[in-house]
This record gives sequence, C-alpha cells and structure tokens, in this order.
Amino acid sequence: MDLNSDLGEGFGPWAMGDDAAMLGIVTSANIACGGHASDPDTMFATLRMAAEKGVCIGAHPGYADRLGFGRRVIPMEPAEIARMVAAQVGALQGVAALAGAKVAYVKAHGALANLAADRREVADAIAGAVKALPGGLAILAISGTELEAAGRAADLPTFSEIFADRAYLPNGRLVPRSRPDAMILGAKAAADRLIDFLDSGRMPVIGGDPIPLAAQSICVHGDSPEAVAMAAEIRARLTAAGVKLAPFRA
Amino acid sequence: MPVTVNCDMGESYGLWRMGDDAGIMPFIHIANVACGFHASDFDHMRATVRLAKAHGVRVGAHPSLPDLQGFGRREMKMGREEMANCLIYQIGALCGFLKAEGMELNHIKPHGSLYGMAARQEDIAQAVCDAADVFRVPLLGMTGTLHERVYPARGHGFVAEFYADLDYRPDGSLIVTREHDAKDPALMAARCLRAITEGKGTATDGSDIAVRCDSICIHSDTPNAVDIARAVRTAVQPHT
Repeated sequence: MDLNSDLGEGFGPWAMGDDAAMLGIVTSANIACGGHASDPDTMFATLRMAAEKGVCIGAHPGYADRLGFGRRVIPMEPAEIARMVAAQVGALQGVAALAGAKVAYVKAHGALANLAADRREVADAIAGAVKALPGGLAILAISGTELEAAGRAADLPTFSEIFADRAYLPNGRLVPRSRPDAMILGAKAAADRLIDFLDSGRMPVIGGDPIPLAAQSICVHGDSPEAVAMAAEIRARLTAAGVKLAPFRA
Repeated sequence: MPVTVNCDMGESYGLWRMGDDAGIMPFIHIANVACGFHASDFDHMRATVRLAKAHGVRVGAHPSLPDLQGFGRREMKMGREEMANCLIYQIGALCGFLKAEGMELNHIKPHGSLYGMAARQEDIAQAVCDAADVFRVPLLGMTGTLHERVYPARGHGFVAEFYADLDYRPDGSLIVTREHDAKDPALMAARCLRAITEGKGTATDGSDIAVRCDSICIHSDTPNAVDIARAVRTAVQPHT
C-alpha cells in the first residue's frame, strides 16, 4: 500500500504545511505545478527534497486559480483542460529535469479531480494529456471514478486512491468540504477506519452500507500541524497492523 | 508630535497566511495594509480593515511593485507615470474598503523594494508623490534618504520611521533582512525609547548613529512579533 500527500503547495513567501515532515511519512508526493499553488522555486525545492528522501513523485495539476486554491470549477472545454494539464505537468517535468528528479504519475487536484470523477469527457481530456506527455506517466485517480476508467481506457498505468481523512457518500464520492461531516476527525478514527477497510475492502459511507472500493494508495493531508501528526499516526498504525508501505509505482 | 507604532498588516493571500495580525493589532496605532500587489486580496483587505477598525487602529495603504511571488522584494524597472498609476490603483482599492467601513485613509507607506527605490531614485520618489497628490495623506519613510528630501518638498507630510527590530549600519542605513530572527523584546523597547528621547540608535559596530523616530515600525513576521509589539508599545506609551 502507498501513502500519498499533496505537497509543494506554498507560493512565493507563503508556506503551506510541513513538507519536510510529510516527506518522512509518505511514499508518494503529489507536487503542485504552479496552477492552484506553487511557483518554479517552490517546485524545485519540493522536487529536490522528495528525490533526496526517495519518495515517488507525481504532478498535481489544478485549475489556475491560486486565490481559490483550485477548489472551484472554472468552466473550460475538455481541449482546454487537456492543454492546461499538459502545460502544468510539463512544467513540473521541466523543473524536475533541473532538480535531478523524475515525475512518475499525475494526480488531479481539487475541483478538477472532483469534476474528472464524474465527467467522462473531462477525465478523457486529462488521460489524453497524460498519454501525450513523455516519461511513461501513470495516473493516480480517486477510486471508482471516471478518471480511473479513462486512465484504463487510454491504456495508461492507472492506480486508485482512498482518502484517510475524508468521509464518503454512498456513490463512492467524497462528502463535499462545504458539509460539516466532510472530514474524518482524529488520527485514531481515521486509522481504525483504514484498517477496517484494508481487512474488508469496504469503505463506510454516510447514509448507507459500506461500499467496495479498490485502492493502491491512501491519501493523507499535511496542511496543518494536526494533519502531520495524523499522517504520522496513520503510518504507524498501518505498519503495526502489518501493512507494507511502498510506492505504487517504483 | 506623538509617536506611533506601525506594522505591515494583511499580508496573507488566499489560503496562505502570514503574520499574527489579530495578535499584533492591539499594540499598534497605525496599520500599513497590503493592497493586493505583493500580498493580500479583496477578502483579506476587507477583513484587515475591519480588524483595524475594531481596535481603533488607523489604516494606511501599503502599496507595492506588482510581484506576488517575489512579495514585492525584487526591484522592477518602471517609468514615473507607470509607477504612479500602479500606486493610485492600489491605494484606490484600499480606499474603497475604507469607505465601506466608514474610515479614512491615514497615510501611505510604500512596501519592500519600492520603499528602497523611492529612497534612492528621484523619479520613483516623485512617482510616490504623484500618487500621494491624489489622496493627500502623509507618507512614511526613512530619514536621511530621498523620502525626507522629496516628500516634504512636494508638500507631503513626512513621517520618519525607526525600525524596532532591524539593525542599522554605522552609516545609519538599515539592514533589511528577508527573514527575521526572534529578538529580545526588552532590548527592542529600550532601543525605541532611546530613539525617541535621544534621537540616537546603536549601529552594528556599537557606535551611536543619529535617528529620527516619528513612528516605530515593527514586523509581524518576526517569530516573537507579538511579544515585541507588546513590549515596545508599553515602553513608548508615555510618548504616544
């Protein structure tokens, strides 16, 4: 099982989260590409740090909306989305070349990921861009989504993730952040839920029976001191439960 | 003239936070509020103006070169009219939020590299005055620089700043650091008192330098900024 986290989400003088701490916890890092967060210097520093720690690197493209942190949909045609994803992932690949790092996969961010979960034409646009880029990139998609299907249909190495700290709906989608019950609070609750899931293959949902989900990766967040502590405890609990943690993609 | 304590405020951007504005606001008289070009956005501007109002703090504009990623700390070559337009745009935006809260603009303090450029470059100092002509409020600046010469010559109030938490070279120039280490609040307070009562500061080599202190600037990104703000405000209170 892989542990992934969104990293490199600072911008200019502003930091977000403790990337150094998170890179000691996760096995894969989804690195922002300058769309919803980051800039060339932040990208370089994050890539360097991830490479030094032997963490697998993914590109984390999002809507080019720093003010909204890529969390609101900007209406775009699928072809425009493909170009935006290609530009952002290509940018990270370029900085990675300077930093002596390699981008192994792509994971969409925020509103783009949520839209690609439900809208096949958006998912196909992302998969098409990833397929066109060099480097044999894989796709990391939210489990059970259109993006996962699009990645497979495009014959891309496709992996799926579940979220350690987000509640699920009966249709397998995440409870929107705007709802008070969106987050799983507390490391113990999150770890208990993950261990149950790994045993049963079924994820608890709000308003229904647990649903089957496949996953090769678990997403943990590190954007606050509490989140880093939660990620560390989840790693410790999974390891203690005999779960072997390694990148889904070498 | 009573001395004031000032601080740059509202330098967050979107989800990114900077400085403990709520912690520092109780200890300052005037806030230099970022206008969106080196930091801040419309939501943070509104919130910062409201926070200042709640504490009875007067609000000045803190306009910058247009460079969010560089936080306005990289020099950019701009002509005099272009620079004046850049400043009028930002100050005007802040004035909208002040009007919305029933407040008036108190002063203008250029930010970062713009502050330094106006200290050294005649056309930039003139551009700052061109913008100040529109709003008719005093300008904060450094003694011994073009700020002190050009701003009053153009008919603008000049408020000389003393930096509580930065070091001065023996020639009286300021050592501007990108990141600030924690400082001893008592020492900072003592420095400010001496600047007010004696017009003197201590340079890095221990020698005395002449300073002028109409307003004390503290930085919100020093690790113990709130402690420094409290100590400085308490010490200088009789002079304010």
